[in-house]
Amino acid sequence: MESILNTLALTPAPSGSENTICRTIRGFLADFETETDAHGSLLVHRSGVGDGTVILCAMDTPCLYVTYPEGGFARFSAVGDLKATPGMAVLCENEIRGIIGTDEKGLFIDTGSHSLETGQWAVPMPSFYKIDDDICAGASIGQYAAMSAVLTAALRNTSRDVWFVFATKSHIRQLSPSFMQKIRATRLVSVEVSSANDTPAEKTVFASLGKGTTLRVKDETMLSSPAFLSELEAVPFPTYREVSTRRGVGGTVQKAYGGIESVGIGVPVRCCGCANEAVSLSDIKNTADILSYLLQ
Amino acid sequence: MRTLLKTLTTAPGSSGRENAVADSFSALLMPYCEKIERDPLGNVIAMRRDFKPSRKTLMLEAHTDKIGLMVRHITKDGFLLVAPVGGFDTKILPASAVRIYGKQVLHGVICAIPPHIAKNDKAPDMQILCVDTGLAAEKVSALIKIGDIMEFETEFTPLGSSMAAASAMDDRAGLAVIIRTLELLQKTDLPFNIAAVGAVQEEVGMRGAGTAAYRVNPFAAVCIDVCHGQTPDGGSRDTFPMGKGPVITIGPNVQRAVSDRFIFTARSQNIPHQIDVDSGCTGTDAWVVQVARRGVYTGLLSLPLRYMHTGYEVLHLEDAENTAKLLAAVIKDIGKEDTLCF
Repeated sequence: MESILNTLALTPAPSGSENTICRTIRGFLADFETETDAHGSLLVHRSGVGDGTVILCAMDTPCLYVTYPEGGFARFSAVGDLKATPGMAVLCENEIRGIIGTDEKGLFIDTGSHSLETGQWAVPMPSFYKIDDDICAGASIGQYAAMSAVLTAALRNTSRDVWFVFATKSHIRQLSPSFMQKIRATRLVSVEVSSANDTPAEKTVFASLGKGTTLRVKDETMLSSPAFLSELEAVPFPTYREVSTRRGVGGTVQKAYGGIESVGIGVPVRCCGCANEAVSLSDIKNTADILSYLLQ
Repeated sequence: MRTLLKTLTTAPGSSGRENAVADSFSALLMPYCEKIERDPLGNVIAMRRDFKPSRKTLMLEAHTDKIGLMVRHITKDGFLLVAPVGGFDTKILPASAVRIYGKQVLHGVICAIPPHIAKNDKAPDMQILCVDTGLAAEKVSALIKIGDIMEFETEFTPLGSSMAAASAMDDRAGLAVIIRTLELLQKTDLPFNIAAVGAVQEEVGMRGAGTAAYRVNPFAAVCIDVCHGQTPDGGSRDTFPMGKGPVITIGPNVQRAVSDRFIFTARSQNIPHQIDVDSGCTGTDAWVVQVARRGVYTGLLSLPLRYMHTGYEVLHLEDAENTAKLLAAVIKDIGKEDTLCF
């Protein structure tokens, strides 16, 4: 689990340019048949009994795109809920490194003697740190944690018919459910990032690190099926309900074509959208265990 | 119409929790429909009697859900923090009575700061609005959980002889129109099927109607929803007089041929009607139905409604009756023609 997260967290996955992370995930899944759809979303089918289940997560992370290069500097626009701040180290396309700076016109990327071109991406410098035995930190590690949970479940034995989907373009809100054309399934579990606010001064805690997986009753894109949610509440692993104000990836698929019974679950993440985020390894393992339990 | 509306508006059913109203709608459709199904999202899809799979289908659609509040957090003192389900004006919430659908139905009041001690007169922030159940914290935790729904505690209230107020006229009035239309068509043979659809989750982003349209695969669809009724203080822009008939939408979100057909029939049969020109998204299920599958010929009829998205939405009953009359008249006309088109 930790090595999967470590590997993924060091692989850039900017929204709209997910080829590298797709290759990395495919590497882990080398023993299985995988395919991609026209938008680059990665699909793994594990045949089994019963109606199909889709296990979905996003494969992209928030990022920056260069809008206007000025020599060794470049203006940019942000994709997704990334809080670009002065001093943030970034990795740009073609292995170029940079630092976010600021002047009276706003923020820019300083790449020294290297030049960036319009349309090139940049992500917060990929990183992976162990804070203690359980808490890990890194750039966009929340999204990588969700991917790790799904990937871990995909590598385990399953008895039910299941499609694992690593979807592209979620952060530009252009996730396409076109992959559903290839899938025969009646249920969806969408693995999301939950914003943990268990900070010292917070009196109203909605999600915490190390307390288990959130069961997302509602977010900005999806209302979970009450019956499916109750089923998940009965699994022998720590879970708690969450009403989230974040956008998820499940909503697009839930209402694809004739509709699909859906539920969202979340891996709690501290400091969402900042240069470095923090997650709990036990939460990721717990999320993978829940998925595996559902698929037995 | 009054009885229909009373039955439908008193059924609970916020977005995502439409089972009760879907049951009521299904029961009311029984005399006119033979195949009543619920899809995975909870949409009610009912086929009019004399359904033949080989024939094309016209879809009549209204949404079953209404706005509500969802429990987001339970404080140590037993107060409930809430999240909106659908669009709310937070100014109307303080001191409103709510019904909470926990392990049992409970009553609550949304907290309000009296004017004597209020620091300003700004609309309250939804993030800090909470609900007082009057129960001890332990009791609250035992009976209510995160994600439970609450709705306005209001009653169906007749206003004079021609109007009525209730919390979910939007869009239970549309459901009532569909039922009444099927009643008016009871003795009419038609060369096509009619699907009556009660769609879920319109209030949170028009999520159900698209999947229903995908399943029904209609040659045309008519969505029935509400628009803003005129009030003395509301001005005339984007509002419509009550009791002057259904509002027929013209604009890119509907097909002009469908709008023209409604206008022509209303004029020729002296059915009172009004026209709304909407230059973009109508904010109704017509938005998603129009682009389902390969595209659907779509029309939109709206009923003027005062005080939309509050605990007491006011409807003129004649508007609902005339909407059903117009819809039935147009359907009969199409049925007489050789080709099914608008």
